[in-house]
Amino acid sequence: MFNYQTLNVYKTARELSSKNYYQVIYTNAKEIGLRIFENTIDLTEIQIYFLNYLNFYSNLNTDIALGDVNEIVRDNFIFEDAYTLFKYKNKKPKFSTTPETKPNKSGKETVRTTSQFVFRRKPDGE
Amino acid sequence: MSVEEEIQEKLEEVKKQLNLSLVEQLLTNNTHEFEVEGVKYRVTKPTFAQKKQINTIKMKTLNKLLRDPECLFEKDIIALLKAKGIDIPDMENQLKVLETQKEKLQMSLGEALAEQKTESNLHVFKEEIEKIETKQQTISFQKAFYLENTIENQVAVEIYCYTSYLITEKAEEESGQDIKWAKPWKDYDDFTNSSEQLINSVTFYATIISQGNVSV
Repeated sequence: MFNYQTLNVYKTARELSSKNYYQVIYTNAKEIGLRIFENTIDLTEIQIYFLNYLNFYSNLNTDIALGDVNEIVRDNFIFEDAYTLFKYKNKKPKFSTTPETKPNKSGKETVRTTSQFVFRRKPDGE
Repeated sequence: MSVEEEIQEKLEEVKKQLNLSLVEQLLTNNTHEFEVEGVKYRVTKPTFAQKKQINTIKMKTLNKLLRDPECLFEKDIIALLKAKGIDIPDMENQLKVLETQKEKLQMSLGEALAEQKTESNLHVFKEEIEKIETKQQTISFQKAFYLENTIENQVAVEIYCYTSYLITEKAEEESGQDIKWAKPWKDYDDFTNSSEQLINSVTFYATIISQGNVSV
């Protein structure tokens, strides 16, 4: 019944990973440790590929839910790949890892050491 | 839609569902059970000992091919092809150029999607990307055809066949839930003399289960 020559196993695995059923299992696997496969170790290459795409679609669905992208992105693989590539190539870190520099009165540059966080002093007696 | 077209569409849908269910089964575990000519078989991801055996076969096959003056390495075949006017490095360059073009289009399409542009705008990019992918596939098929008989390729084919032979087991006895598994063939020659249907099924499943775990 199966035509081994024409069956694209990896493309089909990607299609499966986008299905709501597997997305629910993936979310639960992350949150409550639900098992995705019968084997917990010694994964095959196609299982790893499937896991990567579960994560890929989970991120894409989050972006749709947040309104970052329209649902049309899920229309085909080309849209999905293009949006994800664009998103990751334009990704900026949330917090700058290099310290900001600002020239002082003498003209020399000094490093600003302002913290990203505000620490409140604990009330006396604590 | 005509009746023939409707039947064709339904058949396509059934085929798609069967493919989905087959791949679903392949994903479930690192072992896969299947039936050929009424007999139950299974393939399991190769163990360390099996990988060592496969490596030995790789060496033996390579040594055998090296002694055969008719067999050539990829680089030698590329040189011969160049003399006949077939330029493999040029094909590789074309593939690189196409990949760069594709990535540029993907970035533009990604930006259009992020900016939530109209559907017609998006489809213009999609069609361009599809054209590039078709060109990439044509060049890749041509390249694969010309390099099919290299020593490297023959070693890879032999490894996949031997791996299939090594990791396949046949159900001997079934008592309730328990199945006794045994080697289906006396030796490798016995495997190569099996029916084409069995060899096709076994190599297909074995290749998927062992992919990435056997160094070709």
